Amino acid sequence: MRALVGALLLASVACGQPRSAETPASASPARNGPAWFEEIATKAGIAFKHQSGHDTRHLLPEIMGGGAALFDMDGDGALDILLVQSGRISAPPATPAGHRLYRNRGDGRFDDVSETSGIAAVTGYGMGVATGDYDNDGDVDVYITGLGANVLLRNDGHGRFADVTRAAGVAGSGWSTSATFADIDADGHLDLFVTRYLDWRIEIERECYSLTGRPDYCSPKNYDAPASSLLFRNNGDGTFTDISRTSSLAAAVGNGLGVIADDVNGDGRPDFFVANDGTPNHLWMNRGQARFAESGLMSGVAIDQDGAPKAGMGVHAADIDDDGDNELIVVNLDTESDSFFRNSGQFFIDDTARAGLRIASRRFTRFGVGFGDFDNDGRLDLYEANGRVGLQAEQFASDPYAEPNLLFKGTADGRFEELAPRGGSASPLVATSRAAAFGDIDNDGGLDIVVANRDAAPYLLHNIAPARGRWLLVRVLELSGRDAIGATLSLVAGGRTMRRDVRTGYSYLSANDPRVHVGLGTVTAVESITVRWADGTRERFGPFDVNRMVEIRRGSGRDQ
Amino acid sequence: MRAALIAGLLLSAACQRGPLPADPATVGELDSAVAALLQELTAAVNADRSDAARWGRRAMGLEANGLLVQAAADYQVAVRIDANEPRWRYRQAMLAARRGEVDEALAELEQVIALAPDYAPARWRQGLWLLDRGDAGAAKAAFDSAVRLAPADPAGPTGLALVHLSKGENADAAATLEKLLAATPGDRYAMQLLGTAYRRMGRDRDAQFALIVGSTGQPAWSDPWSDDVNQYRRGFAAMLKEATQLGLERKFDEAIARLNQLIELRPDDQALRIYLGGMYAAAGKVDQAAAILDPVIAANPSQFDAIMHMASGYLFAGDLDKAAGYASRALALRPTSADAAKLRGMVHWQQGRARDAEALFSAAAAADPRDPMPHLWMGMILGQQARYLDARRQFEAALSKNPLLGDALIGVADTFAATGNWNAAEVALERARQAEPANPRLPAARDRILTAARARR
Repeated sequence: MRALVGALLLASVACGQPRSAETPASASPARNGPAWFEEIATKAGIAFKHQSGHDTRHLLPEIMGGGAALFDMDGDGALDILLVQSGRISAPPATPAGHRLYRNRGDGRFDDVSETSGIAAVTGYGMGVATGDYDNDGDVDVYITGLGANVLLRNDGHGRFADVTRAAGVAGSGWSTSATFADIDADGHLDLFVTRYLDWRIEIERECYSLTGRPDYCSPKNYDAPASSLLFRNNGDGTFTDISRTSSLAAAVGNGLGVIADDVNGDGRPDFFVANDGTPNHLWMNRGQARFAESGLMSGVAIDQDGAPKAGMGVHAADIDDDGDNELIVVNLDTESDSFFRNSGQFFIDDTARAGLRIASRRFTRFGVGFGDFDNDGRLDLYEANGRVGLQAEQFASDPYAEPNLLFKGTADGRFEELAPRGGSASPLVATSRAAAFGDIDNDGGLDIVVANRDAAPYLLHNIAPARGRWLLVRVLELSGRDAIGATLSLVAGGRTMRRDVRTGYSYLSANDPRVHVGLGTVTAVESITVRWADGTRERFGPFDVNRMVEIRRGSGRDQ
Repeated sequence: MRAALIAGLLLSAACQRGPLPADPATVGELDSAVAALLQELTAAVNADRSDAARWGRRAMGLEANGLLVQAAADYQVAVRIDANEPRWRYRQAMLAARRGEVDEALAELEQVIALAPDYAPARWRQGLWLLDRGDAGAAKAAFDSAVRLAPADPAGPTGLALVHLSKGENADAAATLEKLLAATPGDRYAMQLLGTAYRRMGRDRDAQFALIVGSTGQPAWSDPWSDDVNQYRRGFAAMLKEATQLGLERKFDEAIARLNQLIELRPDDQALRIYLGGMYAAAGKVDQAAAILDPVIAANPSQFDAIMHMASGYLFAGDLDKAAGYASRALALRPTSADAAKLRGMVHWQQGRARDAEALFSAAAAADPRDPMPHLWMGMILGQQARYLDARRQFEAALSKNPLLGDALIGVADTFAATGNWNAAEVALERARQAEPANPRLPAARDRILTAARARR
């Protein structure tokens, strides 16, 4: 009898049984290691739930939000959290969107200050957020993008915000997505770059279907209505001038989703890279005099070696190989790999395979993205926040668009290896993730992440990476006291020179911690930090002890 | 002993029969055409569950319609029943690669190659996946095999060029691609890679041309065992795609037939109805277009797409007054629409109102900077007005967006000829011949320009 049972079992194995159609897709890679992140949003008092407003028709903007920001709204040294609500596309114009602002109490918990801060009153269908001190008064202002008019919120220094959009002249139009502040002309005032997705109105919405025939969201290609980006020059008096046309930005259109300001050719002027969805990416080279020229194709970043334009979403730039210039990463749709462009000084080389990112990334649709040294070993790691834009038969959760996120560990030879558990959290987190904002919320030297999830609660991923190395967290300030966005740091430590940048605008629909976080491994001191300020002047600071936060203020270093 | 014998017989019988196929009804909501196909393929499997080909065909039906997990399971059964058939293993490998499991895909592909050593696509796929994994040396060997097996197929040489580029051997990449392009000059993906190689070699002018020409290129290599899957695509999305393709190929009657079938499936789909009206308009059947679109417009006077289709239909039919009326309505609805401006401009041009046309083409060019056509048409208008320098600027603007636009190259040649620069005119004509040898205006342009050149010289 035992032999019979054994043989029947053998028969079932030998002949094979098809996996059940109901079998959920695996959300975990094969091997498990220790978790690097613990999801603490609810525990920390974050009660936000994103709402796309989806009802019956599939309206494209519903699948693209929401946004997130990490910034210090009240100057208490602790990062606060802004979560951008989408809302309802058909809502009357005066309907508050429902954005929420959470003040960091410094004890691991956050208070909802949306009402008292004025954030709750902001209207419109929200998408993303940019942060920067546009008026040089020493506090961080907020720019929220969306469908229709965008909103500039001036901070009074105590975390109360006033809508100054009309006076500042930065409402823009159309469907804005990611935005970033950058000082394009080194006049000491932050200018504003805004990407736009496509020329969408409810009248042009189409009916699209998945392969299995279910109603679904359309591809941007179905509309063939790409848009140009916007550039607002800061006049220094609280107002901006729209220079989108005179700067030549209107000379090219694309389905813009992600943006980063970065001086890619080392001429001291910030250039802009725009990740486009289904159209070639744009690289706007700053020619001075507030003029830009699009050179994505010749620079090697318009498309990667796979040929056709990919669905560019989020973007980040960082110096992975310590050669003093920044590589670019663009994350794309499922079946398309990430695009990792290595900066050769004059142009970029598609080095995705050598970076180890061709294979692991392809299974998911990635949006939010950021390099960061999450384990402080001195090598930049990579986090990608994922979620589909179209239905597939295989599902990871009851939300058909939900996917797990990805965490890669950076290695000494410039490669990235996917870590398990997938996404770095002990229990699998599966949602339709969009924005990912990076920063140290508890000032413990470990980089944390806020992930905005469509039609779901956000993740607040607290860094619990085991055996983290030493670290330094550097706040870099201009004379006015504003974060020195656009400044570049060269840190000498342990025989290495590392480049890091002061920036808040990267990832997707996100604003990030402006402080420069540096993982140092076993290194016990940072010998020096040379700052190249946005106007090209240089100062040297240091040495610094490690495992601490330091502040570098313009004018207090040694001239170079 | 007896029990073991019975067990052995049971095992053998179970394997002969194969497992029960998963019921298509369990995979959730399906397009009716997809469901019908899967029912048919499932019935075929149930008729003989020991036939690997039936399992394989059902797997292809599942794969083609996006049911990848279920497809992988069926391929697995097909492989277990017939381990010597390479096609099902090949599809398994493809699905594994799609899941990001490239090691598994490569292991499967090794077995495919052992079973079908002459199937070249297995070699270049192996090369691509090895490159994905960063193993350029092994990838080169795979691409070499692909070249040996299918010397006329661009996949092998292109793969070798990718290997060279990955190793920074840019001159070798360029040489490989130049040789390939000499044999297959229309390969835009190869052109793009050649531009990349030139750029890295510092040959910026050559790189710029190659990159612009190749910017829309992507690999489209023949792989019969993958192409076979496409025949199982069913459902609304597949039929709509097919109808669109037929329309692009100007097979309007077939496209219209497909769209009418779709409307039977979804009689309330307004967008589909408008699309059908547009197809009638493109086919020159403006009365049929009007029968569909006019009621739509009457119900919704701001239905932009329907109005545009009517304007196009009347323009093609030569009824310029009616075309003008619809085009004006479209432009009033969307003053910033490049398409509406182009259409209204084209009607003006046909009506002899060249200045109005030029203004609208200029607006269209500003509204959609990707589009070379408004520049081409402005060049033609300016050329007719003997404003040759301005015309040439417009033709060159068109060429900056599409360097292979034969009409723009002919326009450049004409403007040079008109100003007596015969050598430059002949160079431009030669470029037009290279870029678009089948351009219908080319023979007349050659006769016109070369005859004039001989007479003047």
